[in-house]
Amino acid sequence: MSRSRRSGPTLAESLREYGRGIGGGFLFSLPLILTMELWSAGWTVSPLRLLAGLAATFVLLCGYNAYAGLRHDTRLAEILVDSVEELGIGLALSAGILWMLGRIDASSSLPEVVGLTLVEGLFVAVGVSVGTAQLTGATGDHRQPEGRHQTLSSEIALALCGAVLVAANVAPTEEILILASEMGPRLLLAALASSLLLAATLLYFSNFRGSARFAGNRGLFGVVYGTAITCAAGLVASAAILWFFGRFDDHGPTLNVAQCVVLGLAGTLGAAAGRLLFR
Amino acid sequence: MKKNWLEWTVFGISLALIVAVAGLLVYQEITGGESPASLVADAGVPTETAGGYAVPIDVRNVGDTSAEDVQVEATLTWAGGMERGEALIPLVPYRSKRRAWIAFSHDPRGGEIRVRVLGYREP
Repeated sequence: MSRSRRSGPTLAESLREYGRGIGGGFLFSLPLILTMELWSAGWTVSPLRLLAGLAATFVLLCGYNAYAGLRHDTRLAEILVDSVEELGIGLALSAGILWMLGRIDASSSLPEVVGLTLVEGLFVAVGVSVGTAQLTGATGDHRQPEGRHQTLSSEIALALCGAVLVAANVAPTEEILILASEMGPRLLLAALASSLLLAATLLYFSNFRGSARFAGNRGLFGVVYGTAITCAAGLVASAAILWFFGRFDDHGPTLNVAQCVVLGLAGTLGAAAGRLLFR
Repeated sequence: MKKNWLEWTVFGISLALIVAVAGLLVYQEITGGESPASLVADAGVPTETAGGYAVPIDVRNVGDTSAEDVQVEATLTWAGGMERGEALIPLVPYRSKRRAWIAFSHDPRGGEIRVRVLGYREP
């Protein structure tokens, strides 16, 4: 979690940060937790895949904390410590909510508890991270000037974060598979075109909050370049989440690509929003 | 790095939680086999209900694969008659236990109960 002062935070400041983190965790992942298909993911996702998800989420959190914190001089050690904190809070929060909802109890086996907590907790952790940095009401000179993250890696990190937040909420549902298998090539192409159009519109033609800093990148090449990065981030995030939930197993490659395109609508929207709104 | 004791505590607990979870997953991955679902059903102590009698059936999955839509059957035989009942359990995760209840109109306490798993699906 990011510091607003160099002198070190007071207890009240830390508590407020955790409060924001918990709020963000709930806000961005409650739809996911209330999805039935996800509860079964807790016992169908293999340990190796859960480990891969844990590692990928940690890298994503580090990327986010490196580029979207409230502070300028984020050092590596601080980024790592903050990411561990957010991941821990996400897991604890997820276990608490699942227990409250009666999804885990004394009769659940340990692998079941760990699987379910992890599957939900990873996405809660991303919500915690985003909530801590984005939901703050504090403004002033310690706030990052907009337009500071213009490097390719920072843009990709923010786009992936936004894409994961939005796409994860619908990824485990049966609807994505049904749509992918019934839409056919023409409609899928239309969906892909809509993703691209949506990204271009949000980033360059809508005067969306934060879009002013992309003004310097205008020109046809700039628009094509920025749109392509955003859409690609949305598709990659969609593919990763679908793989994590086992949605690629037992299907042919064509259907898997179709699923990516369908989920990519949500992913691209999230990626564009992430690039614009996260600071 | 300036942090107060609360933040270091949260960090410590978080780190411990993550290491424990990762360790458990690695352990599971190394020791966990790929054995198919393996179900055992046992009848518990019958109770009297408003509409008759009910017997709890505990279904345990001792395999490494979860089983869905598990159908269990219980047969009650006593001197002079028999009664059959079925129940469906939506899910028995690997290495876990789930309970179903099968209802009878005859008092099971005077007879013999046999339980068996009829079938299930792979998730």
